[in-house]
Amino acid sequence: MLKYLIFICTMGLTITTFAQQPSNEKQPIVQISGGYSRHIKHDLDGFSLDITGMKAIGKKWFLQYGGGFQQYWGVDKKFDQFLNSFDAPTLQLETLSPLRLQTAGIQLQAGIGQKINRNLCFGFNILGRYQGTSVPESYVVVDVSSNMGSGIQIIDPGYRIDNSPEQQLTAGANCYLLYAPWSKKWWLPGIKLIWQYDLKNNILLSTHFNWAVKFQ
Amino acid sequence: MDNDKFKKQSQEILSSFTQDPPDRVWHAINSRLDARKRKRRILFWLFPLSILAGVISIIPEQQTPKIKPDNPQTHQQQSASKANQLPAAEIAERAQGQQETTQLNDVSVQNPSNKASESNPVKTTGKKHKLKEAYADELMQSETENTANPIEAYQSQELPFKALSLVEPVWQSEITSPKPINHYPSVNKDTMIILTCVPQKSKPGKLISWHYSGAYSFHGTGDLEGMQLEWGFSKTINRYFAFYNNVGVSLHGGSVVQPLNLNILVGPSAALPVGQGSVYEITSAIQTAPTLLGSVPATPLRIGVGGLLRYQFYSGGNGYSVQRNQNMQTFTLRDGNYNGLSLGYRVVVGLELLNTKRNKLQFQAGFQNDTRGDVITGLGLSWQYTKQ
Repeated sequence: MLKYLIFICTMGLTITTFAQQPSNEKQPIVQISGGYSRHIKHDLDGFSLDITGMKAIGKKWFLQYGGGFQQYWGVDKKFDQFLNSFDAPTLQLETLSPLRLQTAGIQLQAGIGQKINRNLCFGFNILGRYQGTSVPESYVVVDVSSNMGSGIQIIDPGYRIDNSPEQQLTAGANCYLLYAPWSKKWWLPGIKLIWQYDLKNNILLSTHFNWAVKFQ
Repeated sequence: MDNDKFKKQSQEILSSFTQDPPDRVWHAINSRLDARKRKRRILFWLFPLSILAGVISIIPEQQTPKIKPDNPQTHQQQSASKANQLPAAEIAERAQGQQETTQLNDVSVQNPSNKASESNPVKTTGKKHKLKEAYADELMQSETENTANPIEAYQSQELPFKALSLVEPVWQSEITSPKPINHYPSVNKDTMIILTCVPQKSKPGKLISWHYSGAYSFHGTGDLEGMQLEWGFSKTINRYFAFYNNVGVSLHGGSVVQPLNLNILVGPSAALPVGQGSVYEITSAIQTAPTLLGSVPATPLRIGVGGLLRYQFYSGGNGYSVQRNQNMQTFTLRDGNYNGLSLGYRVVVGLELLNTKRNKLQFQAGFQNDTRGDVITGLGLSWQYTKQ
């Protein structure tokens, strides 16, 4: 419920921001941004990259279009929890590796944006996203060992996966806030905050270092 | 009475005088009149002549051809080859046309019989012009040696000296003209002087194109499927080749084992099985593949070959153990190498579907292999936008 509330509030903030004062810069701009990102649904950390082209369509607005790539990875935490549930003196592991969790996404996006002032920029994008993940929706760690009565408890953890994850093709939206106070003649370094949501309930939060090139 | 007598006497005296002035007076008057007429004629022609001179001085700059930089060598070779095949009159007209459309800086044309013209009839402004003159003289010498009797050639309506063609490109700052031809002193009358001028050329610009590519692709032997996206730009090297720099991402995934219907294995009377799912492998990567793109002449085929630098993330390990019992399927994992950097190569073959002035769309098939053993094959579309 909270994520829907945040999404609606962000949409409202985006629409409100569109009425702010414009920028006079009309050069095409190519933005390359990248940085830390977090996948809220899968509880994974990673990074994301974006390439965006921007073109002014008036005194107030600019169009933007581009693509992005996200990569998140981690190690299953249930594995350690499972091992910790046994007494250490009787533990003998046959299998040592936890499940590797990985989520990656490729997306194409297009939208509209506006500069709030000379240093602050806000934008909104509609996106199509292709995501693949190795994170199952439902799984448990079980002991699959067969104790032969030797007096030593042998633990052989294994994964029982109830539903295989699938690759997802979905649609969504994101919005960003770009702060670029160090504007130069040709390039615009800045910091970018991105919030993204799609129809498969994936929520991504990203903090990017933004590097933009202005074309005259 | 006295007055009448005075009139008569004066009339008698004056009747001896003739009214016609002498001829020299008339000549003097005529010469003065002619001088006034000449002044008026000069004043009359001075104004239109000045306008005409101004127009002539402007026309060569306006008519300077803008040669497209896509195939400058072809244009030059065509003009040179055609000039060698045309008869003398047409070549003269063409040479005159080229003279109009060529920037000739300080070219002075003199009578070939004038020996003074042999010294320096062409004023040059740079050191390279001297080299050009030497090169032109060498070519003229060779032409003279090849022609046995230039007078006979002239009488037989053959061009006694061919139009000079410089094979190498001549840029705008290097425009020059060879000397007026004076290698045939016996042909003084009606000698046709051809100033062979290489048309002005602008340096061929390197066009920059943006590329956007997407492909449906397979990783490995087809067990992982996914897609690739790529973005980059290319610069033309010449008519057939371009260098393409890019950055791309790929994402592939697939199940380790196909989900089994355990009801079939244990029978419908068994307990409802759980754990029908499978471990899912994901490979995702960021890569750059600097590629030399080439086009096959007269065909819509495009071929690209290049290196590959790829960083890949991999969720699978070195292997899995799948255990099944009556109502459960479990996986045990072995640790392995997950992420890493690799080098490789890539080959791309494209078929051009659409080609406009700025946009090109081509169907593209790609194959790549790297040192980690990852093989990716893909089929997709590539859109190329050329910035004019």
